[in-house]
Amino acid sequence: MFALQRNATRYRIIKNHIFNGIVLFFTVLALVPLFLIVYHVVKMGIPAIDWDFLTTTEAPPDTEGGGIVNSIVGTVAITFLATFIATPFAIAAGTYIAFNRKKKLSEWVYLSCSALQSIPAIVVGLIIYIWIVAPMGRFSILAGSVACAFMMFPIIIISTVEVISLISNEVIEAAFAMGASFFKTIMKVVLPIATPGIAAGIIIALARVTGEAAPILFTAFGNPFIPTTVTDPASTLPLTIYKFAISPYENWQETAWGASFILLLFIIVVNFTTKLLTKKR
Amino acid sequence: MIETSTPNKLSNLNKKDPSQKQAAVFHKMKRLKPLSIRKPSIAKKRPQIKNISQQFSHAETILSITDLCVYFSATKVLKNININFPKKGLVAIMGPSGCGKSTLIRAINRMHELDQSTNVTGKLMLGNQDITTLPAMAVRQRIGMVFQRPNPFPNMTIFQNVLSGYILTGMRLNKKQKNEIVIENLKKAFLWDEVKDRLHERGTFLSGGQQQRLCIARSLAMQVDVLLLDEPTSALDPIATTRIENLLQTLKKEIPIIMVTHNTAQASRISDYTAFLYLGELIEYNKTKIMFTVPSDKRTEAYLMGRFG
Ligand SMILES: Nc1ncnc2c1ncn2[C@@H]1O[C@H](COP(=O)(O)OP(=O)(O)OP(=O)(O)O)[C@@H](O)[C@H]1O
Ligand SMILES: [Mg+2]
Repeated sequence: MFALQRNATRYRIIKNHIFNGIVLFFTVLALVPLFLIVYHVVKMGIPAIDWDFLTTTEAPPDTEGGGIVNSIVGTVAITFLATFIATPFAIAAGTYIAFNRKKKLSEWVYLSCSALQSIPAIVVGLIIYIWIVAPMGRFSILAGSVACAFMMFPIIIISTVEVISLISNEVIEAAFAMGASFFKTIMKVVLPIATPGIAAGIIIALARVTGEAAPILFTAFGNPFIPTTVTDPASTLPLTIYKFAISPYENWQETAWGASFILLLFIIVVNFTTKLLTKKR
Repeated sequence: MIETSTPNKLSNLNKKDPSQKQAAVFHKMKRLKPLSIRKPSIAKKRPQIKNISQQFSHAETILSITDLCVYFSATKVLKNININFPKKGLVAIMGPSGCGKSTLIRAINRMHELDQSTNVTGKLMLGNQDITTLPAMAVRQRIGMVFQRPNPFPNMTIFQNVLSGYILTGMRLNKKQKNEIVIENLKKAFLWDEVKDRLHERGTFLSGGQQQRLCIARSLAMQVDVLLLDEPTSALDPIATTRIENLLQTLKKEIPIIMVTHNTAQASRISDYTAFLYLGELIEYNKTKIMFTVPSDKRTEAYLMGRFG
C-alpha cells in the first residue's frame, strides 16, 4: 500500500520534471532566433560604423565609404512629425472613448482602431500617395509623416483608453464634486494621472513606425541628401536598409548592415524607456 | 434583554435580497413582544413627531428638500423624501445598507447627473435659492463632499490638493492667497502639524486618516455652505476615526454638516439630529437624543437595537 503510494508520488515528480524540461526547452528554442538575429546584426553592423558613417550622406554605388546621416535626419523628422500629428487626435479620441464606453460612436471608433491596426502598412502608404503625394505633385516628409501617423493612431488610442480606465472612479468623481467642468477634470486630473501610460503608448507607436519601410516607400520615397523642409522627400533607416541590402554593391550592403545596427539599437533603447516609464507607477 | 432568538430566525430567511430580509424581520417582530418588555413606559411615551423638519424656521434652515425622488432606470430608490437641514449642527443619516443614504446625499450634490440612467425629481433649496435650476457645477462648488474612501488627487501635492477646488474651477489666486488658504484650512482640518514640513509631497503618501482630513480640508477651502460626508470613517481604523469625529465636532460649530453613517454609536456620539432611512423612505428624523432614547417608529427602534443593518 505504502510502496504503491510512494511509487505514485515518484511518478508524479518525474512527470513534473519532464514537463518542466519540455517547457524550458521550447522557451530556449524561442529565444534562439532572437539571439541569432541580434548577434548577426551586431557582428555585421559594428565594422561599418564609425564617425564618418554617422555624419556623411550616402555614397554612390560601388564606391568607398558613405554614411546614413540623410536617413537618420529623415527618420527623426518623419517620426517626430507623425507623433505631433497623431498624438492630439489620438488622446482626444481615447479620452472620449474612455468616458463614453457605452455610446455607439465609441464602439465604432474602437472597432475602427482594431481594423486600422491590421491594415498592411503598404496599403496605408498607397492611400496617402493618392491623398497627399499625387495632389502635391511630390514625395515629402509630410506625406511620410501622415502615413506614419495613421499607423500610430490606433496604438495611442487603445493605450489611452486602457490607462484612463485604470484611474479610480472615485478620483474622477472627486473632481466633479469639487465643481470642476468635464474639461478641467480631464486637463487637471485625468490626463496628468494618465501621462506616463500614454507616453508609453506613444513610444511604442513611435518604435513601431520607425522600423517600417512600407509606409515610406510611396510617400517620402527616399532622398540621398539631407532634406531641408517638410516638403522635401526623405530617406529613413528601414527604407535605406531595404534599398541597399538588395543592391549588388558591396559598400551599400555594408551600409545596410550598419543602418540595421543603429535601428536595432534605437528600438532596444525605446523598449527600455517604455519599461522604465510603466514601472515607475 | 430582547429575545436572543432573533438572529437565528434571521439566518433561516432567504438571503437573496437584504430588503426582503429586513421586511421579513419586521413581519416577525410584529409577533414578538415589542420594546415594552424592557421599558414598559416607552411605548406610551412615544412622541408623535416623526419628522422634525417643520420645526426649523426658514431662517434656521440651510438646505430644504421637498419631494425628492431618485430613479435608477426604472427602480425608484428614493421615495418622496422631505427633509430640512438646520444651519447649525451635524445631521447623521443612518439606515441599513442599500436603503439609499448615499443616493440621498449624492442627489444634494447633483452627482447623479454624471449617470444618464439616473433620474432625479423634487425641489432643493439652498438658503433662499432653488438649486435645481442652477448648473450642477455651480451647486457643487457650494456644497462640499467627502467620500467613503479617501480620494486625494494622486497627481497633486498636499498643497495643491487643498487648492484643488480653485485649480479645478479655474479661479486664480496669488501666492499670498494660496499660502493663506492652505495654512488656514489644513489647520481647520487638524492636519497642519502633521504635514507642515511636507506640503509639496504627494497627498497619496499620507495615511488613510490623514488623506481623509486632506479631503475635508480641500472642501473647506472652497468655503462651502454645507459639508456632505458619505461614511467618511468606514475605511479607517479606530484611532483615525476618533480624530475625524473630533474634527467634525469642532467643525460643526462653523458649518452645517450632513454625514452618512453606518455606525449608530458614531451617530449618537457626534450628531445633533439623526435621520433614519429605510428602503428609500425617510422613516424618522429628530434630535439625536430623542431618537436614540424614545424612537417614534418601530423600525427605527429595531435598527437602533441592531436587529438589522
Ligand atoms: N448607479 C446605480 N444604478 C442602479 N442602482 C443603484 C445605483 N446606485 C445605487 N443603486 C441601488 O440603490 C439602492 C440604494 O443605494 P445606496 O448606495 O444609496 O445605498 P446606501 O444606503 O448608501 O448603502 P451602503 O450603506 O451600503 O452604502 C441600492 O439598492 C443600490 O443597489
Ligand atoms: Mg453608501
